[in-house]
Amino acid sequence: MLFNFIMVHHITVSFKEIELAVILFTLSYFTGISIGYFFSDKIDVKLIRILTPVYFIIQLLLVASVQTASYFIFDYFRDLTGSADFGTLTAFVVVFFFLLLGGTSMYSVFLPNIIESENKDLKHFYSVEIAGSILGLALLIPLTQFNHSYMLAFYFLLFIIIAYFTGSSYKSIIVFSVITIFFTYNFDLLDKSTSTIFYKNRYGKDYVSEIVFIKYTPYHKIEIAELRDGEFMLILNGKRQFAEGSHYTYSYFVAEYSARLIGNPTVCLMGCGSMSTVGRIGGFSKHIDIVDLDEAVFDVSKKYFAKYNKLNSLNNWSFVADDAKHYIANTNQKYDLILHDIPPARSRQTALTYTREFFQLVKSRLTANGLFSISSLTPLKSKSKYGLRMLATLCSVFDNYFALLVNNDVYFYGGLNSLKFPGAPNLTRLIDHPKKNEIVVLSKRELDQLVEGVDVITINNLGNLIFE
Amino acid sequence: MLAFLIGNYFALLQFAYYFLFEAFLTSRAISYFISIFFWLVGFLIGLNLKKRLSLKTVLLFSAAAFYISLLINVLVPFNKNVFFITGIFISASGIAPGYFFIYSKEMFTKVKQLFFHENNGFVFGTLISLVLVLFAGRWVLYLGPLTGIMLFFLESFYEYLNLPINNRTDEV
Repeated sequence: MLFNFIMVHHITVSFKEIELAVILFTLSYFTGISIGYFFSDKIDVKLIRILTPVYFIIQLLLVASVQTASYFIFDYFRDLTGSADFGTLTAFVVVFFFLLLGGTSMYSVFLPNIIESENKDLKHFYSVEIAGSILGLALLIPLTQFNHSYMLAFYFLLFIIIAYFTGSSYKSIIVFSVITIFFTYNFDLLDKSTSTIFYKNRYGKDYVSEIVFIKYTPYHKIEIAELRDGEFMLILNGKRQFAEGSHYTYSYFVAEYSARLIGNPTVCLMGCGSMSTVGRIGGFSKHIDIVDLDEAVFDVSKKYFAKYNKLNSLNNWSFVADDAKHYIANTNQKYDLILHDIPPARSRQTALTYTREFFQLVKSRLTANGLFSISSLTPLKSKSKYGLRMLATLCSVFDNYFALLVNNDVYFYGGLNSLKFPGAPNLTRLIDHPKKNEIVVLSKRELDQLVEGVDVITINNLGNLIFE
Repeated sequence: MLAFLIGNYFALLQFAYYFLFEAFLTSRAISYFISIFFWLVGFLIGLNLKKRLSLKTVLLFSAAAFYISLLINVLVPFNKNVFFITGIFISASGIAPGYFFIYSKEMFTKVKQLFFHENNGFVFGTLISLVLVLFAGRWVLYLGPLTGIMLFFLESFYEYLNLPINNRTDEV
């Protein structure tokens, strides 16, 4: 259970496609179990004693370097073949085999072996194993509250106990213990160093200076990179969420423009990230409810992106640790403005907030003149239909709407029938942005024409969206 | 083959519960931990039951528990009070895998074969669940566990037909 939790985190950071990473991990996890079962009667105590140090080293390597190693494998094979897909596939295959051989295959040998040798008392021994899983699960919750190195220390302590009971020599136990103490004590430093190498390679040595903060939560590996120009970059599960340059336009059109259309709104911000949107509208909003699954992201952003979110100087906000779907469905509050600031739909969890079903929930929480604001996140004229499908979904849910086309990016604003928008010239006049003259207002009719025949996103076709 | 198909059914059932939580209750990590906790508790109960019921009955019970909880969640989505009721249904479904191991251990000469075939089915079921849920969404909830249990019943019926008439019993 602990190994599962640890490795899911390390692998999802390694690969850009979260869903593929989850599939890869789950497959290798359970295939490893099958391999262990298959060889369980061919492996004796002597062989287990010999293999234990090998497993120990593989598991240490996986924890310490899967993120960096998978990137280098990807990079090497991409350069060799000229195909990014081939690079990704090779990295997947290598990680898959290391996980399969060095992970669960070791543990699944024991249960059938013990049952066979103890007169087939399956009920007793399997019950003990399940009770162990329940205990591991119960321990996960408190362990996630502490530094990740505590969880690693605890996991490797259990490994050493298993090694002891399977007959590893005292010398081996001492070596395992010393390495574990050294590894976990220095894990933060090691993790920051390997992450720095990883992001320098991914984003460029001239862009990223170093990783200054890392925290593991049940949802994310949160990383803060310090950039060469002294600014910070927020990274969640290996994906860049906020960098100063790109956010200026985004937060203006998603938050400030829509809030100024209303005047003095009560706001629900779904998804926090850096919360630069709060900094944009905090000064003239009645109240802002910030809703995010992960309180740690909120805490980190509050500290590192205070310059943008201004939370320290504002007092008209509150934070709710909840997932957007659950919150919106259960709150009695109606809002003048609901902002969608959730990362792109690269996993089921986030993709569910880009569906017709979710937008219907959002619509039900708007006041009569309330507004929902969201960015298409994908340029309209690109190979991907992601942006168009999002617009088609939004148009199918909201009664009145318009959009702003800003350099091929689309910002959508929608509400109920009772919400009346001024004409396009007035909507343009309200824009206070350097690109004002390049911006095109798309009316409801123009949007309807644009998305004609485009598939709407529902819970039933999330995969198209995730892998678009 | 039956152990494989049962493993496949358990994967479809477990994953359907997981997606049910994500799509109709909450995506919070604590809910994921609690859903696994309830599943394991059911598993533990199933492992310690006496062999009084047929395996088919227990499997049907597990599917029925899932579909009742699905119905409740579709009718009352994202409701806090439904959370623990769903947990109880997860435990009710989780009884089946535990009971399956107790029920089936004598059918295999080596216990490793039982574990191996069931786990292979589980791997297969997990793979197709992970992919299908992305492209078929709620249809996996409606049809996934049903398909899993139907495949098991079809295979057991096929094996029953292939038995010599004198050897046929009600059991799987």
